[in-house]
Amino acid sequence: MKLEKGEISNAQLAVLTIAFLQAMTLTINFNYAITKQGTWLAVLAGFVLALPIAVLYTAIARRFPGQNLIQINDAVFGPYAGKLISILYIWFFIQLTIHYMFFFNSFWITYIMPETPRVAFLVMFAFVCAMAVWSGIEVIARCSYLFSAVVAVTIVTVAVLLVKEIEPGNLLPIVDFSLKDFVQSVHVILTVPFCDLVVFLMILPYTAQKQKIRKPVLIGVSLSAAQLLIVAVVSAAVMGQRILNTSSVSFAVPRLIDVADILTRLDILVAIMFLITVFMKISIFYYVTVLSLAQFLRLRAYRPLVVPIGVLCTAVAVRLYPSDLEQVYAATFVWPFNAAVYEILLPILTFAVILVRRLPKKEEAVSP
Amino acid sequence: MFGYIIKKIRFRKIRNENDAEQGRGAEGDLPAFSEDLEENLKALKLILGKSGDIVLRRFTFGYKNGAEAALLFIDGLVDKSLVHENIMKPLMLGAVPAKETSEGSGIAYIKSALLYVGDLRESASVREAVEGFLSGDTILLVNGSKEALIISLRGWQNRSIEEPLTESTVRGPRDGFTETLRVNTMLLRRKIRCPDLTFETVQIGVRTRTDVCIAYIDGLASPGLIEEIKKRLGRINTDAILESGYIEQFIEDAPFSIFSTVANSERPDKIAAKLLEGRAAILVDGTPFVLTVPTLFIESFQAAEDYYSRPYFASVIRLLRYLAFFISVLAPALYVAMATFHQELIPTPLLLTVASAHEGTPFPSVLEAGLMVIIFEILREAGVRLPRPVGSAVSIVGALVIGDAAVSAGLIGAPMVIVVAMTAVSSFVVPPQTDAGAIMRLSFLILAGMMGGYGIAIGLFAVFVHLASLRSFGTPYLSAVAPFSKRDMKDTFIRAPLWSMRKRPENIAAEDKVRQGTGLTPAPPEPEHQKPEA
Amino acid sequence: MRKFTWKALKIAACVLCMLSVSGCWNSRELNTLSIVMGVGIDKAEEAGEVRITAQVVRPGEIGSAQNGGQSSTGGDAFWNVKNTGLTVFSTIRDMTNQISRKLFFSHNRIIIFGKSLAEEGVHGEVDFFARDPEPRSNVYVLVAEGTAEEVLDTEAKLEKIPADKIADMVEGQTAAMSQSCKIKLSDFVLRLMSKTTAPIATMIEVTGEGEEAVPTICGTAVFKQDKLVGKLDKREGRGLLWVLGEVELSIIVVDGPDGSPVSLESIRSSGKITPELRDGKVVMKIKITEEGNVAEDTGTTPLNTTDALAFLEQQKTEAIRSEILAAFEKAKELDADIFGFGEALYQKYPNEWKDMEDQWDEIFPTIELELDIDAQLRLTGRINSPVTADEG
Repeated sequence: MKLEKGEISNAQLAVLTIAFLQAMTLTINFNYAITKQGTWLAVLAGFVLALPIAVLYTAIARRFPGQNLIQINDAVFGPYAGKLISILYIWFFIQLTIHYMFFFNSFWITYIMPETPRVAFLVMFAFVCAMAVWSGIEVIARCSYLFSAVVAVTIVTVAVLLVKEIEPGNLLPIVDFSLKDFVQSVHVILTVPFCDLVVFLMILPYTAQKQKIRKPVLIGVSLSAAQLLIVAVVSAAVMGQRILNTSSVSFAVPRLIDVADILTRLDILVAIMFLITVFMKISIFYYVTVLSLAQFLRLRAYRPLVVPIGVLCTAVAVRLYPSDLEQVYAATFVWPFNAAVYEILLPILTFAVILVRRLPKKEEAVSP
Repeated sequence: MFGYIIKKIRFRKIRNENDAEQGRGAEGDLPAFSEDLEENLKALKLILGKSGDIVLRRFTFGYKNGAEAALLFIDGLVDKSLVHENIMKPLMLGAVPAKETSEGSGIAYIKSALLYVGDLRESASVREAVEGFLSGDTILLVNGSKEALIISLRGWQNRSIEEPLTESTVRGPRDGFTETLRVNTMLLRRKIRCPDLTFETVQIGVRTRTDVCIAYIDGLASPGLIEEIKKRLGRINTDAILESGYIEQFIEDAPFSIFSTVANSERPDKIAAKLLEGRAAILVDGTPFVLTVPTLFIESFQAAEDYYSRPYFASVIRLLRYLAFFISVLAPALYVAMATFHQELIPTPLLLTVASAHEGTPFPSVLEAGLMVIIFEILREAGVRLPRPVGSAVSIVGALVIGDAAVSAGLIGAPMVIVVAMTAVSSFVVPPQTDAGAIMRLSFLILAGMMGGYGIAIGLFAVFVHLASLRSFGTPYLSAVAPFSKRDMKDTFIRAPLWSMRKRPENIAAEDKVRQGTGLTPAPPEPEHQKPEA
Repeated sequence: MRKFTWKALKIAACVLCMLSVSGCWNSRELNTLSIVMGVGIDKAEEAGEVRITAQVVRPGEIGSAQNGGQSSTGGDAFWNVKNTGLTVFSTIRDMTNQISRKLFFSHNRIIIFGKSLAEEGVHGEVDFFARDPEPRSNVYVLVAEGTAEEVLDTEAKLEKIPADKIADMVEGQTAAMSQSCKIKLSDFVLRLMSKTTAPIATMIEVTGEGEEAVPTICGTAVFKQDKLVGKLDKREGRGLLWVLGEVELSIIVVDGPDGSPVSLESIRSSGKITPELRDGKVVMKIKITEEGNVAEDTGTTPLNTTDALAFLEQQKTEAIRSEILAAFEKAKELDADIFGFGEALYQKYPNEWKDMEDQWDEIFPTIELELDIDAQLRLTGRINSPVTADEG
């Protein structure tokens, strides 16, 4: 029984990917502490490494058209091991939702409205995300058009307005970090933003043309990587050595915009841009969590789960980390390894098993 | 406990059945006509009651046999001179061969040879006759005939065709729909002389029996759309349909949303253009407002005049409309958010001015803004309802004195008055969204007062997600923006030149997507040979 | 229908509860804020304490449109709140004992350090302005010859608020004369954080007495690490600005062909530093490109000949060179790398820099300068020869 009755076209898939990955412009803050002004190199490297992984995801999806991740797990690993792996994935999705909620919450509260308690903030946000999830993937895809366009335009506009402040000398020296730092930075970039694409394995079955999904996804990844590159380069060029001392570069950079004394103080616009990107990301995570849980429990529809999962995630996200400091530490040192298991190892394992068992067998091409 | 639940369920079922029964109306079945004139007249009198405007004219005609006949019509609904000239005169003067009268086929002969009337039909059903009668037809009963003639000679006082008050343009035709269905269909026929233009009429409303007409261009509108409209109209089971708004509220896709998914207009050129794009129009007798489906959000920003002007100005004005809409919805909220939460966003000189204006005022900014918005809504409503002689006085009092006096008294800050005035004026730029805009304005204001810029952002998300989930008769409400359609972009935020809009909007027309050919860019003719200047 | 009304009632109840308990925690009405336009930080009499002077706007006196020009009640448009305490932030918050509204720093335009405080080190005081999100990083940093308090206490003659005037002066001075530096907090912090580059700030003093007291910009303050060590006068200051490429408009006075002073207006200039390591010595190649016009001739020789122009260009080049050298001499004397030579070296020779970084204090005075100055004169104004009857 098909859980999600909507369908998105391939163009919508590409735009959805872009909108989803645009949150990278915010999470890249974790990298500045490691690779300072050479972060853009790490971005490039991360992008190059992310492409084959994205291809891996689409390959898995193409082998089982119309089946989402939970169903694929059942088919690939067998009923018992498959269920176990599905549980692991569901656990990961919930973690993603909660972590991102907390991350964004702390970012906004620190810089814009320090006295507001986290709960009020999160509840309103979760409410809107719940609305989007309730309406289905089609609506989320439709929203992604406008949102991704707005974010892209904002990124370019901010970059253009900062041209005055750029000093190319700030980008030198290009390589000011050790190889170990570089590898760590690439690892962070790879797992935190790019490979979150693994959740798309739950969405890909609902596209219109199930075999041609590789191109839209790759286009989406490339375009968002380009935006991230712009952000990394401009931030480094403008901030110079101050990068080391700034706790949130993405927010400090637009504060420096000063065009003819009129266009000053635009940091709140950039903050709203981040709000948009994180909204998309959390909506999709939330949606995937609800959908996978419903699929796992073999429910007929996923809507009843929307509110309970939302309440649960909000409640946990309020007190996830005691302070900002632990969160940054976790994001830089702990999370990449946690995520790598689900985002890289498990899919590779899945695909290996697919190849070995030569799936799907002809009679196993089940209808969704 | 189970017994309690079962009783409740049974009670609900019975109650629902009774409700359905009620709506059907207490008519039952009516008999057919008999051959005896007296009997027929008695039956009709029973059904129609004793209103003073029903005219019953008995007369005899024919030389030799003197067949008795009766003419029934409603005074006021019928063009009486035509009745006299074209029905009574030929009957009374013309000769009916005896054969026809005695064999009871008089009606057929009368119909084919005697009456000078274009639109008539015969009917054996009393119900049909009564319905026609109440709509303004004339009933002719002849003794000895089982059938009655229903003759359409309707004529009543009509409002003349004049420019609609609510939608006037600088350039463009100045005709508008009126309250009579036939006049409206005439206006549409004059715009579209294509044989595919189809009108399908149904009658809705148990007691009002209002004529509702679905207009579409066969081959352009998708058959599924028409089917769906007919289905939804068929489902309506109500007492009265007094205005197209009633129909709209019964057939719309999202009754709980503040946005309307059915558009309406008073201008025939606008409706004709929408028909030509593949939409369907619903004309309702008794109102000049014609509905169109499916409706997109961007339609509210497209005015008829846009297409009669050249593209540059039309594009600028269209962008201005979007800006005005945003201002009208967001301006008070943005002002409150910036003044109470994000003071660092305001440039310093402006902040000092705003701060000094706010210095002596007793209310917090949210309350100030809320009060001003509510006062504005009151003024607007009063402006619509008041009788014309008093009109200018109220507007002057309202706008100038209240606003100015409030500022001088120190109750409201001057910037607030300016913001709300701007909001007020902008809200009229996009007429179809005025009511939705008013509700959104208040909600955003409350959100801004609670959480500042974050509240506004959350509100915008919620509105956008809601809009994205709306469908109007199958078409996504935000078509052209989401799902994105490159060719529709020519008519969304800008208005590309007419000669470049080759195809009809996506998602709406079924087949025949091409509107016009290629190579239509206007250009002066090539000079044939170089002629030296004399 | 009944189900719906029940649901609607429940939702309405939730919303009402939400609205009444939520407190709009961050909402601040405008009349609960006192907008700070300028901050002065001085050393207090007690050891280890600071004295803060905050110049706060009085919005009631600002509204010029309503009151028609000058403030109607005759009061100043500003008020200096003063307080003493251990740290900057605690002192500022403590001011709520004197002033009814919380101080709001987002529109602050200048930070003035008193001389005695600057000489003891400012990094502790700067921290608040860098860390808290409210103050912006584009405030101008100044050092007062005396105390910051007396600078802020002067009357405002042209504008309504002295802090505004001082900030506009800093900008205007750079835009028109470029003899003292103009530095924002973000750059100041950048310099503070660097191990080698010396922070600089605009120097301001109070000239005149009593009613006639006006704040005047008088030079560039030089810090080493975070302590004030010296001052560049106007000539040396401009020399510094030539190298940094921050000269906007400026007037250079040189001797004309007949010995009388000629004013040359500099319109555009840029400076580029290229470091080079040559035989273990650090050589800095500085290229200055400059363009200007003849603005004023107090002599009698007509200057619109190519010879005269070439002569003036030569004079100008000499003037620029001497200014830069003077600045460099002063910097060597104070042993403060105000030009940012260290950073330039780091960008080009990162490996060698690792060794040189710690000995920069010793290496700096040994740096050689190679100046390449390209000065041009373009226009000579409305008249061809000076307004005199003498010929030649």
